Amino acid sequence: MTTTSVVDPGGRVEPGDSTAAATFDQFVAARSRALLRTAYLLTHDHALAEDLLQTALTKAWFAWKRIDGEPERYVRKILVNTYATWWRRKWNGEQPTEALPERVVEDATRPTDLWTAMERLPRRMRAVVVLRYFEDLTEAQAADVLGCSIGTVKSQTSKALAKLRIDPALAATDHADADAEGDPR
Amino acid sequence: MNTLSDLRRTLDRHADDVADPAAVARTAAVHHSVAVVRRRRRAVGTGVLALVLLAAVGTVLWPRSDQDPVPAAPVVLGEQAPTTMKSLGYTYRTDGTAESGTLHTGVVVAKSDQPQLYSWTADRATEVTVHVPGDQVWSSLALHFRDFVVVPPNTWGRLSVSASQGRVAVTRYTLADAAPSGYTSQGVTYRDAVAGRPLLGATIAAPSTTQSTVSVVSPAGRAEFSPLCTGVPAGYAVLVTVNGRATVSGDCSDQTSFDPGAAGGYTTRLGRAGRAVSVRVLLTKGPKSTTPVTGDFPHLRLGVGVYGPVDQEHLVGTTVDSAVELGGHPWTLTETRSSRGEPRRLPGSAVDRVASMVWGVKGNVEASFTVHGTPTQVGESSTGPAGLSGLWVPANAAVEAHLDHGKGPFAVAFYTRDDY
Repeated sequence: MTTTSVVDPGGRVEPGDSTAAATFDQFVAARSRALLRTAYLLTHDHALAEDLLQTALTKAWFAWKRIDGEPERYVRKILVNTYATWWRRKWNGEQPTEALPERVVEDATRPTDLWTAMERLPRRMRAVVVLRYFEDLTEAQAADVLGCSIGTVKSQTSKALAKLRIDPALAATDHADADAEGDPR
Repeated sequence: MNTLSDLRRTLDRHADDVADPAAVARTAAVHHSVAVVRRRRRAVGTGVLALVLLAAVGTVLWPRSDQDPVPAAPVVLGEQAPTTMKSLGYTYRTDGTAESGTLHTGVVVAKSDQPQLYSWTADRATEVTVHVPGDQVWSSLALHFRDFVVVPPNTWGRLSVSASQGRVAVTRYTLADAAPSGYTSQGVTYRDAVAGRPLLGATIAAPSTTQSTVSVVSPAGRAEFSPLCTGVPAGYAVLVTVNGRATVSGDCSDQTSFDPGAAGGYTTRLGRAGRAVSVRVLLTKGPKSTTPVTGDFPHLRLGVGVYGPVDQEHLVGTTVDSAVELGGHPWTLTETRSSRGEPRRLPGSAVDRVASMVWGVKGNVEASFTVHGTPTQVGESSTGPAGLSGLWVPANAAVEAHLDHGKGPFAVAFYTRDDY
C-alpha cells in the first residue's frame, strides 16, 4: 500500500493531511461554482466574488479536519460572515452601522430595478435577502449562518423588503403560502 | 410594486450569469493563500523567538531590514517605478509587485497589520480611477508614479486602476523600517506632527510595565490625546490622567500599533498655556478602574501621544478639524455648509473630497450621509454634539445629508487634498 504525502506550495510536507487535502480539493472542484454564485449575489462584482470565495475557502482549509457534517454549510457560513465583516474598520472616526434610514420613495407603487436596489442595502441586510430568497433558507437557518437571532433575521428581512419596495401584502401572502406548503422559505 | 417572485427571479437570473472560468485555477490559488498564511504564522513565531534570544544574549548585531536586499523596482509600461515613496513621513519600499492591463488592472490587497502604498501610471495622458478597498473611488490625473494611495492596516480586498483609454499599471510598496521624525520607542512612533498639529509629548510604557508618564506644556488651545493600547485579552481598558485626574478612557483593543497618533481621540484644554502638566497612561482592569493592573503582559503596547494646539472651526455648536489625513495624504478644510435642520443636497466638485458631518443636537439623533444617491454612512448619538468623519466623496459626486431622527442644526465640512 502506498502512502501519499501532500507538499503545499510553501514546501511543507504534511503526511497526516493527505486525506483532508484530497477531500478539500474535491469539495472545491465540486461545489465552488455554487458558492461563487452566492458570492456574486452578495458582492455584485465578479472579481470581488472570486476574492471573497478564495478568502472563505482559505479560512475553511484551516478548519477542514474539524468540520463535522456537511462542509458546504460551514463554508457558506464563513463566506457570508466574511462578506458581512469585510472592510469593516476604524479609520478616521468612521462610525459604520448596519441600519440605514428609509429613503423617500416618490411612488411606492412603481416597480424598481431590484438588482440595483439591492446594491443600496447594507451588507448584512443583503446577506439576509440572499440567504432567504436565493438559498431558500428558513429564518432559523439564516440566523444560524449569520450568527444572530431569528428576530434579527425577521427584522432585517422586513426592512430589506421595504427598501426593495416589495409589497408587504404580497410578501405576507408568499410567507403564508410557503408555510402552508411546508416550504422552507 | 415588486413581488417576492420578482426578487427570486432577479436573484436567479443574475446567479445564472456567473461563469466560472477560474474553477481550475481556484484550488491552486487557495493552496497558495494557505501557504502564505502559514509562512506568516511561522514568521511571527520566529520573531518571538528572536526577541527572546536578543534579551538573553544582551547585544546582538542584527541586520536592519533597511539593509536587506531591496527588491528591484519594477519596469512597467516602459517606465522604471521608484524604489521608495514617502507618505506622511513614512517611507515605503517597492516589493516588486506590478500589474498592468489595457484600460484596467488590479491587485489583491492582502490583510495586514501594516499599511500598503499603491501607485500607478499609464501609457498616455488620461484620468485614472482607482477603486480602493473600503468602497473609496479615487480620481487622479497625476501619472508616472507621482500619485498614490495608502491602504491602512487591516483593510483588504481588491484595488483596481482603470482609465478610459490606453494601458494602466499599478505597483505596490510596503512599509520600510525607517521611522518618521517624532518620538519612537519599542518600534512605535508618534509622528512630530499629525494633520498639522505639533507633537507636545509622548510616551510608550517599558516592557513588563503597565503605566508610563510624560510631561507636556499646555498649548494655547485644545490638545488632542492619542492613546495606544493593544496586545492584552479583551476586557482591559486604557486610562489617561492629567495631573492625576482621569481624562480619557477606552477599551484596550487597538488593532495595530502603527501610527497611533493618526488615530486621534479626545480633545480638551489642559489649562493655562505654557503650564507643564503630567500626562500618565495606564492599563486598568476595566473602564471604571483607575489603578494600573499588575501582571505579565508580554505583548502589551501601551502609550499616549499629546498633540496641540488643535486647529478647529466652530459650526452649529460643535467643531470640525481644520485639517485631516486620509489615504496617506493631508487634506485641508475648504468649504462648510450648514443647515437648520432641513436635508441638504450639495453639488459635486471636480476633485475628490473628504467630508465630515456634525450636528449640535441634544437627545437621540440619527443622521445619514448619502453620496451619489448611495447611503454611505449613518451615525447615531444621544448625548449631544457628535458627528461623522472620514466620509469619502469622489469627484463629481453630489451628496445629501439629513437627520432622520432628532431636529436641529447640522453642518457638512469638505476637505481637499493639500498635495495634489
